[in-house]
Amino acid sequence: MGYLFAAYTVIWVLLSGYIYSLHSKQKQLFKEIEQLKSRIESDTG
Amino acid sequence: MPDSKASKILFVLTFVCMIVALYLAFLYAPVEATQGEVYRILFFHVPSAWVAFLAFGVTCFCSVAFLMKKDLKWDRIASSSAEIGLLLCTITLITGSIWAKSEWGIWWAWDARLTTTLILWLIYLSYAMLRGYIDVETKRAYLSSVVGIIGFIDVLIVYGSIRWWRTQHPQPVIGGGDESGLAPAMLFTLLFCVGTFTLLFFTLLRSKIELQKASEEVDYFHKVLAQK
Amino acid sequence: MTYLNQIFGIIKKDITTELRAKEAVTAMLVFGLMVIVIFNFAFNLSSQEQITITPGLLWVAFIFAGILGLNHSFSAEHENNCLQGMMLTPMPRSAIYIGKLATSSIFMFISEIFMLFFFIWLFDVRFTGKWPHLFLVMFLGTIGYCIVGTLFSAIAVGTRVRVFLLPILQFPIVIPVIIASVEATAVLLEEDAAIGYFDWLKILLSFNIIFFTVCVLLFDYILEE
Repeated sequence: MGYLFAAYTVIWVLLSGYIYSLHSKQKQLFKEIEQLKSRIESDTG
Repeated sequence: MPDSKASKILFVLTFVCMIVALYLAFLYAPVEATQGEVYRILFFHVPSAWVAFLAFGVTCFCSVAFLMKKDLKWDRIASSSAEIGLLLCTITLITGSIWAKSEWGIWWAWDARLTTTLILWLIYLSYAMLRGYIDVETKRAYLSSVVGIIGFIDVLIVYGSIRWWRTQHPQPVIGGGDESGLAPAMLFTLLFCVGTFTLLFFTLLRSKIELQKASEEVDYFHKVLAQK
Repeated sequence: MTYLNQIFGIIKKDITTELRAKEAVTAMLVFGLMVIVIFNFAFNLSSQEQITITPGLLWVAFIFAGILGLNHSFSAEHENNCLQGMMLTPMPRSAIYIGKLATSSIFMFISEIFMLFFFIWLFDVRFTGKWPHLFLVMFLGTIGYCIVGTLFSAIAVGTRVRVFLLPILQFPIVIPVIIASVEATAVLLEEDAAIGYFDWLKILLSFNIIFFTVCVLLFDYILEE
């Protein structure tokens, strides 16, 4: 029973860790894109 | 995630399916006669193995497509798929090892399927490392496509030769395949879990590709700014 | 005909360079010898155990030494900017690959033969089997090892970290070659008639045919920029 618990913990920790890392990277990238866009616009304007 | 509506729906659908899969795996499927509760690892272990193999297959297919079409879109899919495959292959190896410990009393056995999975994992780990060491985008795409194709072909030969190697030697203490006597409820649960994991694969693949596109966009903007 | 000439041109060039500098074969041979000496300290071998692990030790020495030769194969060209030169010639890329494959295999095979005799001498191996059979395994195993190795060597020179990337790419892929070569050698060392010897040879042969085809097809894309 302990083994079963361990196995499922591993699965969920790895999966949610991966999804979390994707999510945070994406958030950061979108923020960067917005910043860069506004910088380009202010440069041209 | 500030993302399109379609991918939000996909994400929610995958999440719901995962919850249902958990319910089926723990409450719906009956206890197995010989192994007891521990056999429930099967319901997430087998699907992740399946998805890992699928993901590497997708990598191989997209690598071929890239070399033929020379469109970086294919390389993006290939590399994203390999990363997800690596994650699920890791899950397969760890859950498999835990299951082996409870069933056979050892963490690892050099049996054909286990060994092949380990080698599969190593091959795509080297694929990921190779990508990390090349800075030029197109060069990275060409070189890693070649490794992606060779790796997948190799896995088939590895499986064949290891199985043959092991059958020539005395077998270690291995219970072996338990697919033989699955009750209908177990089979249904397993199939549902396989479906769920496949869905999960496509959801992850989609968001990983989106992520790569975004990061390419960032690079592009940096270039534009640098030119000014 | 001209295609064959181009291949032979590459082979001739490499052999001439090697005869002059004696870099690849010497390095492989000395390194292999060191590995063999280290085995002596790592495994305190009694004659009973020896027979069962000899094929494995021998091939580990071959494989480690082989990596040196393969690393050298393209990085030497890379350092002298010869690769660009070769690519400017109208020669098909696959001719470069086949030429390089031939020379890497020849150099590796030559150093393997020396290593084999050192091994037999130092560990007092009583080999009663058939020599041609043993050389055939070494030959096919070496070619199989170099088929993927030559391709990966060309890949590795394209990266920032050429020296240590090659073994990482190479080892997992050549596992079928290692299994088949070690087992075929083991069969020859055991005194009873060579059961299963030709089966292992078949695996080696099919690996070589499949990957030779694949690598010739894929090599064109590696030098693409």
